[in-house]
Amino acid sequence: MDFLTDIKVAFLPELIIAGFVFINIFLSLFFNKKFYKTSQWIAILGVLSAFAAIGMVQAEPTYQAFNNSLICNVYTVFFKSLILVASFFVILISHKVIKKKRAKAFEHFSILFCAILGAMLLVSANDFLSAFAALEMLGISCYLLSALLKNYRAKESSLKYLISGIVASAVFLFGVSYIYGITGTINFDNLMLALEGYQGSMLFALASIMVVSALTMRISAMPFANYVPDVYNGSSYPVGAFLSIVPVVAGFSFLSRFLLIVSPYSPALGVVIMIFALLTICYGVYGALRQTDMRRFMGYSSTIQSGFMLLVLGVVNAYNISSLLYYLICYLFMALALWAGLSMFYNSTGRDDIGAYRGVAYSRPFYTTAMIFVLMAFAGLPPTSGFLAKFFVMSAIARLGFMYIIFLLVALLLMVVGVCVYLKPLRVMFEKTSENINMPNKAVFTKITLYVCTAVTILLCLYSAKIIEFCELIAYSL
Amino acid sequence: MNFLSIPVLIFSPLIVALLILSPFFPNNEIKIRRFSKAFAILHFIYSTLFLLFFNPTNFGWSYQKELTFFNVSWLKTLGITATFGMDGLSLVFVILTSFLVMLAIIASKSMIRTKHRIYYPLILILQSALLGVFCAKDVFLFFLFWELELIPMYFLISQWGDRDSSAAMKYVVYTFFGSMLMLLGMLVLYFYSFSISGVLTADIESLSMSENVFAMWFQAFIFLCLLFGFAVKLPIVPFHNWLAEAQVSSVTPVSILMAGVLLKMGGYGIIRFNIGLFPEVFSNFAPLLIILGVVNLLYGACLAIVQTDIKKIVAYFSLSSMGLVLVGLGSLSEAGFEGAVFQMVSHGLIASGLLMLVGIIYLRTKTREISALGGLSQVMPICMYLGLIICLGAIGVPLFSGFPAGFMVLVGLLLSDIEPQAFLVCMIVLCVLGAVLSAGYILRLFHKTFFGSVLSQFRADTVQIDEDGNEITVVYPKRGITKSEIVVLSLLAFAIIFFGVFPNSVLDIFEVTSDIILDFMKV
Repeated sequence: MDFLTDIKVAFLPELIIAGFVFINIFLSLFFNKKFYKTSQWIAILGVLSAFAAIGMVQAEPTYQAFNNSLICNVYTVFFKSLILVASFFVILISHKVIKKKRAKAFEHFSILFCAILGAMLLVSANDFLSAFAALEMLGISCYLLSALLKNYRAKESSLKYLISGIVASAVFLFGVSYIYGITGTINFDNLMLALEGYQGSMLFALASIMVVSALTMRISAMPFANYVPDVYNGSSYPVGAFLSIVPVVAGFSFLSRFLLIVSPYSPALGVVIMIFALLTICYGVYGALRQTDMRRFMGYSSTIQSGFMLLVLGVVNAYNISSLLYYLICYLFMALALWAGLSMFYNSTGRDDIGAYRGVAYSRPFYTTAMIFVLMAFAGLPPTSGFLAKFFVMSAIARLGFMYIIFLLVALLLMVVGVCVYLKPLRVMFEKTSENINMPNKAVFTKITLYVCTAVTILLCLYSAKIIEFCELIAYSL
Repeated sequence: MNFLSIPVLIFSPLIVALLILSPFFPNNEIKIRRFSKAFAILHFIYSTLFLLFFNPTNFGWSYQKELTFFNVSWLKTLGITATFGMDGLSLVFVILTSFLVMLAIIASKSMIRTKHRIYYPLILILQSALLGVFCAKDVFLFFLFWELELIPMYFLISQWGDRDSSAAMKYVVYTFFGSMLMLLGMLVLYFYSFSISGVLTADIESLSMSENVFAMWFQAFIFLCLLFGFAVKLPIVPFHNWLAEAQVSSVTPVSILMAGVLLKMGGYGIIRFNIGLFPEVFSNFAPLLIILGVVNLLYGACLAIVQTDIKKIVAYFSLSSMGLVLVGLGSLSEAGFEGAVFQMVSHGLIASGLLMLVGIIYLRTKTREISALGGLSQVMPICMYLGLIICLGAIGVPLFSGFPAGFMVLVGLLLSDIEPQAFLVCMIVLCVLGAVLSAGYILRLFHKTFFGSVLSQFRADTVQIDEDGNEITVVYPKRGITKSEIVVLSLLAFAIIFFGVFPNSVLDIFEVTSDIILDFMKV
């Protein structure tokens, strides 16, 4: 019963999530739309029990399960907890969406759980095959999630997402086939052994670049970033929040483990990644500056943030990875807070263009205060964790040596434009207006998400010593 | 002294700001204003206590204090600590900040009409950030406070000033642009000092010990990065564009703080980082700084002469005065250095006074066009007398604080070791020319607004027609000026005369600090 032992020791959370996928599908057959509220509670229960199960898995030493195709260690446990925390808050803010689509509430959550499962498996994947399966599971669930609203824009965005996803998958497999051809293995551990003594070649670098570019599809970075604003625009706010966090977290976990193995043998890979990252930030900043639709704005914004995270992966060492981990933690909370704030506004006014926010500051001071802090965190201004995260990332690049100064300089200058991007909504909020914006106080969960995540965003800046130490610990364990 | 704690000094305005913002505080304009005013006065008294118990002969930093969170340093793993400290130089600027914030809050009574609940907290948050900049003993803590100042400033400029203008955005973008290059310099410095000393630290004192081993071009690179950040703030001429626009489109108390304190952050940064950490590079770059300073001085003066908006004249006066600071620092002599710091203090007082005058005039006449003003001395005589003191200070007449500052800078230039002598002489001549020009535009400002025949619309008893077509009798307050405005102007005038007569009262505070820095440079 090797199979069951593996699950019991290391993959209980995944089992629980998979179980809840079936529970949701099963319940959707019997519960009609009257009980749509139950679905949210069941989903919360699922995520919480998976979170509890994470405490029980064996993380130290690394546990290899299912013929070494999946692993479980401190690193994967850390990423899985990030994914579950994000999912928890996403479920909290999806109240209004399931109310609107109450007949499909259980289906919605079953697809969401599929996506969570895919993300968690991607984090654990230890060979290219399981990684591909997990990527596809995550991808297909995301395509479905973005089509959920069933209107014209949703269909368009889902199709666009699907097509870009297929291209990315093809590129991924192409790259993997080269790596297999060179080393004769698809397992990461064997790959490491096979590469020992390997001189490195341009072909191998090309293969690695292919795999990396396929993964940029998930982390919404260049060269596969074009779909992001359209997809966010077509999906509902909670789904947008999910798409901007969970695939990104999972993608980065896989990407950094992959790069750790291949980067010593792939000449020029680091420079290519850094150029990808800078292009990503440029593209995001340029798009966001001209954007008037808040969901499209969020798309470009998550592209900008991914660009900063991708930048540190140009050179893979423990310090860089720990700065990436810290950035991911901060990004998770600030993105959740911003999505919660935007969805709160959309749910009460029904508008998502930036002009609708005119004069919010005068009718909703606390909401605006929270939004100020969150947007400041995105822009990288103190006293928020966004400042420290950006600082940490920049320090990681400065640490690499004088050769990388030019990348650092460009990134810092792009940050200046980034400040303009994120001050734009703030400026609109403070414009004078005569109309009073009516925002009902009913959305309790969304409010909790907004304020809790904002508070975490600020506290992470002050009490960060322990967290950075923790991130370094995890990075060194890799 | 145990009751003198720098964290309390820095964070108490922040806490008071949060208190006012909290829902428990009464939403009453008078209560909010009086509470903030009382706090600002107490805070000023508290900061002067630091001066009383300060030992000016003490080498190094006094009142050091490290802030810990649950007994852990702020960013322990990165070697970054939240350490605060004060030396003579910091102390001068801390007291200046506290004093000007107090005056700005007193002045707000007549200048601010809306949104008091947000305005006063923002001013206090700004105060916290400024004090943090002057007391930070860690490079990155300095940077954090430097950035922290942006957000309250953005709202203060955009919300209470000219709402349509993009000045606030311009201010933020300029400063952020500079500070990003500054961050680049700081990061490079931090990691390269680590690679040489093996200790991961961002403490200013420890960094200043270990820097000498870098290659010269490398030091120059870091030096220029840092200088760029401070140049935007000071401002040095190619980067001065934000200043006039931000000054003109913000309300008087905010422009007082901007001209009085924010510009000094740049000067303080140059002294603390560019001179303190890279004395050798600085002495190589000194002639360049003198040239830049002279360009600032003359260019600012020329711009000020052609302006027709009286607030713009004051803004370009600030630009011109900051040139003198650069000249003083670049002279590499003790007199020049002390003159530069004294000039910053003196300019803080004088520019605040001029801006206050402009604010008072604008409030009553609703115009800042110099051609539309005249004869105000007859309707507001007290304002004229106090204004006269401030304007004399601005011109640099002996016995007013502008004089010792300018004089010391010129003496410093004379005593400088920089070769060739002809260069120094040219620069001195140009500085004197700048001083003459300043007399020109300041006297023009004073003369055109206060003297001449009273224009009919400013007569106290005239009947005016308002926008709706109703006839209203313009009633000026007694003697044309309110009590709070008299307090602000007379405190400034007093300070200008006091420091003009006893310049040593300021110089003594930071004498030892400047000696340390200059000794360092000579080695």
